[in-house]
Amino acid sequence: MNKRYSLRTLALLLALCLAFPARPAGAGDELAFVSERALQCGVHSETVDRVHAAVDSGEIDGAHGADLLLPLVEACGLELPLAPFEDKLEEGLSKHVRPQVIAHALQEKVEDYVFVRNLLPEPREKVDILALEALAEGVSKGVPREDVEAYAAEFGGVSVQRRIPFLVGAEMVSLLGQVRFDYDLTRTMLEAGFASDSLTPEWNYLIRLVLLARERGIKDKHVASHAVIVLSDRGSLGDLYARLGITGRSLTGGAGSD
Amino acid sequence: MKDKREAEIIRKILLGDVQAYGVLVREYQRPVYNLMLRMTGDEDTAADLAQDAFVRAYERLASFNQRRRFFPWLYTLALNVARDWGRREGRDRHVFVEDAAVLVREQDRLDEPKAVNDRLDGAKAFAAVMELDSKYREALILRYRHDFSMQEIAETLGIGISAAKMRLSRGLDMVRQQFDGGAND
Amino acid sequence: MIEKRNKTHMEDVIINAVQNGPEVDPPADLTCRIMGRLHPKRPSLWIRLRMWFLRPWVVTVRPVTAIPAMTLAVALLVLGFVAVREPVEKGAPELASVRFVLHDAGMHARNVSVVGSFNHWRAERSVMWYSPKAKAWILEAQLPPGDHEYLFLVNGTQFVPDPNAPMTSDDGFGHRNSIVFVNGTNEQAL
Repeated sequence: MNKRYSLRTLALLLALCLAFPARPAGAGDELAFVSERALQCGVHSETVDRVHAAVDSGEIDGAHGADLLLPLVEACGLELPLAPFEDKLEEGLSKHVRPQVIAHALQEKVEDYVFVRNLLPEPREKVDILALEALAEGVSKGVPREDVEAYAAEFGGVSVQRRIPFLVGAEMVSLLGQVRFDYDLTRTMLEAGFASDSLTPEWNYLIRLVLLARERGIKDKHVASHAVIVLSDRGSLGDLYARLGITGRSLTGGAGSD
Repeated sequence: MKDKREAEIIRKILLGDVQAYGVLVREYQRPVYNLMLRMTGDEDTAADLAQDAFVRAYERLASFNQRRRFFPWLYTLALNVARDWGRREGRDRHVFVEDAAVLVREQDRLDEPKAVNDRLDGAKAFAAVMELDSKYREALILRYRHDFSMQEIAETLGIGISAAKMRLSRGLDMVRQQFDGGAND
Repeated sequence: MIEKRNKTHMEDVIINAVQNGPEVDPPADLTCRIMGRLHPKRPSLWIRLRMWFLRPWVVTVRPVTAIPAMTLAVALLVLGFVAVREPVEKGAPELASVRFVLHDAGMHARNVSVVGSFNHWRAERSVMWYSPKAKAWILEAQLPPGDHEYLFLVNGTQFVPDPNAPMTSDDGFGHRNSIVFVNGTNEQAL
């Protein structure tokens, strides 16, 4: 053990030792310690409670429980938004996924978020959380890192007025990337959209059009080239639907707001 | 490396002694590099990925649970670096359910049995193991080369213990069956 | 008998091969390249506290904690600990109506719920009702605009993707979630 603690540190440690009741070190201790840290940092108590419930019911052991919360504490320490991590943890518990797999997914997510945040040119406190989430979640779900890197490099660092287009672009990169729409095609649409300042929030739903178009056998590059025209003219998503000759109703008639 | 000594080294690293990590690197670079070589088939890529794995492990060291052994944790991390690379290269191995009526289950792919009546010897056995799907190959290597416990194999591969046992027995079966026809040892 | 002995013998050969098989030497400068990429850590107070509290243990293999099958009993246990989360903050975006449908002509399922990011993956908040006319399980939900991940939970035990979902995504656990896109404005039937 490092014997070079300063007096101040020792005093702090002593205060903390007194704050926690003395118990033999064990799995329960680690979980309690990490839980305390998580709550202090701002993790919702319901999330921590769910982990405790899984431990209490015997579904996972205490050490695993601690492993599940550690990435959240890490995310917290890195000043990342907590909600995506809480959600992923709760999803894993609900699905009864093995805790090692959940913990691993959470660790990967921390890494994905850090990776994306490092790409964004703004100082940490000025980063648009929504754009960070859109891109980082995309990376988590398989969008190639190079594509996200390219997007941030080519279109990042926008002024406050252009926050919305950047966010719309981020959603595009994330969602289209997940369905393996070629980023080179996406880039052409982004260039047109940024140049004409036509990336309004409705373009978040471009993904639906792309999927519908594919159902009807329309090639991605066809969609992209028409989208470029529409965006250059500051047209709407509806205009693109019309140009491609497809309606908004899916052939499969699945869940949706219709 | 003795577990206690390893734990001491890790504490030193976490308290600021970066050179202490060199001890761990030298100890484990061979198995990690060989893992990457198996996963990529290319020496340069393997060296890059091995580097990435060790660097990532160093960065993540604070979240390493020191109740566990370091090597399985490092190995798990390295496997994920390899998988990330595989995904990026388009070799996505995700299996997912198309059929709504069925809960997602791992699908086993039986390697095509070789139409061979070879005598089984060490070299051929080794070659056959190297050609298995990575999920069986890695399980065998973890168990018999690196002496991982069943628990450690399960954790490293992200599966349950019975699934880990199954991978070992199936892996052995699959190699054995390639040499079964008429082999009389 | 001979077969079994042969089998065991062959397995021994294979195991031996794995144990002693050739390994390639890493490049001589690998360690150097790795160490060159590292910076000394500056231990935060958090790390120093952890080092204080978590003494290095002699590692033992923990006995396997059996993960129970996804039984309704377990689902009920989890339900017992559900706390109501804070209501949506003021100024939250307008919710839109979404209809989830799972066709089940023979009513094979006993109960079905929708679980997803919007209800913290908890089944009890989104139980579906069976419509004999539509021969399907149905749920109308109010969701904020955006994309949402979800699955159907059948009989409290089976997680089933929506066959009619336009898109799926990787859940990070080796499976896929269905995605629904909720448009804030009213959908136009073009």
